[in-house]
Amino acid sequence: MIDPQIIFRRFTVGGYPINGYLVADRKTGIGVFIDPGGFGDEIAVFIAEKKIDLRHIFFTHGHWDHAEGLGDFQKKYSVKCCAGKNEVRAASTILSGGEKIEVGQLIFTALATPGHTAGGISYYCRNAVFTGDALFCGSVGGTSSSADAKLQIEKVRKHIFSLPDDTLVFPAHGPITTVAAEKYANPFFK
Amino acid sequence: MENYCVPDRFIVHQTVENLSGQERDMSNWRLLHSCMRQIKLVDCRFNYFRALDSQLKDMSFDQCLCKNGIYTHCLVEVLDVASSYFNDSHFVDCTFQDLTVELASFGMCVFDNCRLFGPRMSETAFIGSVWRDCVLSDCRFNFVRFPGSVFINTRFENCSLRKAIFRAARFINCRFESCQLPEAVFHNANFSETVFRQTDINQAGNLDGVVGL
Repeated sequence: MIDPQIIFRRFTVGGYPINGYLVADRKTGIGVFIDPGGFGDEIAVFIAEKKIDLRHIFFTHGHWDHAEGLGDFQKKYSVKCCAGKNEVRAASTILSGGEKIEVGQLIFTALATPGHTAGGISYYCRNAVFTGDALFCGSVGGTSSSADAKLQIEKVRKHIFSLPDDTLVFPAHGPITTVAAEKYANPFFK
Repeated sequence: MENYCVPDRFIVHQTVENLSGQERDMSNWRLLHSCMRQIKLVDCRFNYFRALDSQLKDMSFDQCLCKNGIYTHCLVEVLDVASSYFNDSHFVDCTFQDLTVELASFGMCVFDNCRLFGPRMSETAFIGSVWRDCVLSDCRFNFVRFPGSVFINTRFENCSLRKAIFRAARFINCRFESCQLPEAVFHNANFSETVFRQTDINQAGNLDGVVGL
């Protein structure tokens, strides 16, 4: 759907449902799951059918609804975890923004989008950005102070809205959207 | 919005039916005076689609991308949409019946003289959309969002708009008739010559910053 070189699927995961995303390099089969809020047969079957070699877990942030399924993934796959600072204890790679992470021949760029949490990270690859709870279609994630709200708006403007307008935005809650739609019509950025 | 692309396929005065596709690129199709029915698409692209005076019946889209489409004088019946995206599309004089839509996005879409009868939608967004001379009737919406959208000469009739979000939306010469608005959000919405009949706007959860009520 998003790129012919990418195997992609969205799953509803977790006790408090969120969007979890599986992204894999079609050439090598190496893949990543973004925000493992839960795990289930549907995911395992898809991974097996598409012959995906799941090696990575990316966390947009460490809230329990985005991380609850990690243990189930770890039982079945040998995965390395990436997350922002102080977000997820199990993370072996700590991101602050700007890092490039290889998933097969796919290159993900970590984008610092704090606000909802202090170490929030969005992940950008090939015309798609996974924003977690930083940016939703027509909205933004909740914050615990007006300072954090301001920071979140600033960082989304800087790191997400600077991406090409036709970049697909995959949030952890709600439907997908685009950078253009959010830049020009999201009321929180007016 | 118009980007001319050389069409890949013309369907004229034909019926296309019983088609299933996965990971297909069906962009640049042209449908003229035709019918597509019993179509099931998963993880497909359907960009720059043009449909004129045609019927789309019993169709299912799951995780599909369908941007920059133009649909004119079409009847869309029994449509199931999940986790898909129809951004930057224009619907003119179209009738939609029996829609089930979940986790879909119709961002920056324009609806001119369209009629929606009985759609069931949840977690769906029409960010920055424009609705002119439309009728939305018997809608059952749960957490459907219209942030920054504009409604002109548009009627909502007998609609359940639970948790609908109309943040920063504009309503010009519109009518809400026999609608339910529990927990709806009209934050910073702007109303001009808009009427509420047998509809209690105070059911809404957020009327902060509303102008024109």
